[in-house]
Amino acid sequence: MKNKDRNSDYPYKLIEQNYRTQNVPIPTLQSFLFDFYGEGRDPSIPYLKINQKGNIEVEGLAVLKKDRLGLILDQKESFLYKILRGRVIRGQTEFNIHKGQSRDTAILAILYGKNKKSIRNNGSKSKVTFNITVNGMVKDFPDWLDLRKKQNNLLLKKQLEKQMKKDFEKLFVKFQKQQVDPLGIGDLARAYSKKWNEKEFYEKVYPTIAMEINLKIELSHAGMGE
Amino acid sequence: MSKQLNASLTVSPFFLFFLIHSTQTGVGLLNFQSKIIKGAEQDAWVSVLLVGISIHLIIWLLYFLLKKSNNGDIMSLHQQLFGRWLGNVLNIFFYGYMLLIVSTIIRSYLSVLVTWVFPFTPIWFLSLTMIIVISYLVVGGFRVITGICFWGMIIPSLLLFTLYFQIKYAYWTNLLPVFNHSLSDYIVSAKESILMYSGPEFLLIYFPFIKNNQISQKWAHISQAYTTILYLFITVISFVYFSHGQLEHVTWPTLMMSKIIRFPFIERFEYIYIFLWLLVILPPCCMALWGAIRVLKESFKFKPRMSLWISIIIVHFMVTNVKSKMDVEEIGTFITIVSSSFLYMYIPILFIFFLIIQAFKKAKSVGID
Repeated sequence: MKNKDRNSDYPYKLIEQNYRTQNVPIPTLQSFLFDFYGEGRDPSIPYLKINQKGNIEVEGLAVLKKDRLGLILDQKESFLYKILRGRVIRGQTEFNIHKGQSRDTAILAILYGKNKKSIRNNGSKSKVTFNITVNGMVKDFPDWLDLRKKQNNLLLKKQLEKQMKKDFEKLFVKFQKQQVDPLGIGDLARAYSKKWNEKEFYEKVYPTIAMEINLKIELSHAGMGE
Repeated sequence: MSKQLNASLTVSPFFLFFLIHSTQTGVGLLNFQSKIIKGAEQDAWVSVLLVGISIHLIIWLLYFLLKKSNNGDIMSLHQQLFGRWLGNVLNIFFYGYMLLIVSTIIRSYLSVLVTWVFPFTPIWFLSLTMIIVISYLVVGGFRVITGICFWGMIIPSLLLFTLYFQIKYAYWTNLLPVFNHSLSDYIVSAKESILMYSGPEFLLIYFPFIKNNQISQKWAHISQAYTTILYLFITVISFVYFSHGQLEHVTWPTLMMSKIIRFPFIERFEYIYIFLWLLVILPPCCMALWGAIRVLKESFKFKPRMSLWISIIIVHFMVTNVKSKMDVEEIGTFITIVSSSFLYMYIPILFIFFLIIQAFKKAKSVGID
């Protein structure tokens, strides 16, 4: 179907579908305005693109800095962002697995999870901690990895956790470098300090803030597939 | 001293719960959040609570005055304290206050209607429709108004269940840090939250219509406590649902909150909100218009039918003359000043004045003896 055959409902449905099962974080007007007007947070909106075939697709996520485009996240990054943001933890992404000589990719689908953020305010030594537990399943894994075996399962879990942790940290550093705060770290710092100044926080504290992630992945339906 | 009217005209004291609560909730409940946030920000709920508690004191003062007045209403109290002529002048002021309440409520509600539902309908038409409904209820008398107060509380209370949707999106950290504001900030927020608590002053008029009114005070306090809890609840929900900056930009936060509600069969739930809100604003409108007529009847022996006509013409004139949204804001600020100075200054002054006169009378009678 070409774009002109579709009605105006299509982008709306597309975004909603991507929110429900894929990597778009909550796309309501309320959540946008909440972030837009709220102190210590930057808004993000789904980034749509017309691909070579002439179809609209969700390319990723656009993070705004005040009212300008600050940063564009690709699919994987918006997947990670959706988990870091919390509340609605869902989505799927590709990842690498290796065992001995063999390497391959598989797909991880996150079904639900929990995310608790906490902050320690201490000037330039401030630290944010994310305690994340996600439940998911692995799809399309290679034949050489028999997931019915427990040790393979464990191996997969360890590799996943390591990779995701690294990716989370990379994404966080990216936010810091671009001076955008779609995670609302500033708001978190405001909530747990007596006095808080938005400008001062983003000039002094935000670029140096450390991040710690305690990630736990539980693969519930591992081994199932078509 | 007949402080209570004929039993066929009165309602049982239990209905005071509905009478006071329904007359308090009004159009102010739609937009108070964006006003109270200005002073104490996330701590403004403290101001809401404190004002709610202070109204208990006002209710106590009202009861004290009413029990001591000749006919159990403010008209006789004015005449008793200030003499017939000056008392009647004050009664006219009170009459004006009543009409101001009706007009402000109608006009504020109409500005919601015009913005959200009927952008092309002229104000005079909507105003006339509202006034016809209100007059029809007022002609029914006090017992009909009590009925409207009853349903005006029960039916909109169903909307409370829909707050579940907002709690799903709540950011509870919005309420933190607690208590990091100075006293003056709390006072700014408190000033803005007085208007939505105004309503117990109607007691000054309908007191003789309550059966066993000498012992009815507990229902007034229960009602006030319920209002305080309800307002506190709505305040907290709005604060966790909206961010601070957002609240400053939203004109009617309560209505905006209802926009997140979506059922497969009702896409736009805010319409249900707006039209159910008619039931919320009817009780104070009816009560104030009825009160206005009652003031004229008691102090000048005017015929109710004639004073109804005079009153609704004045109300309609006032409503249609408030043209822009800025004017609506202004009249809102004006009535905030009027009703807060009535509750927090005039009533205590009346109380002190009463005590002084009583002391004089006592001294005099002792002197004669």
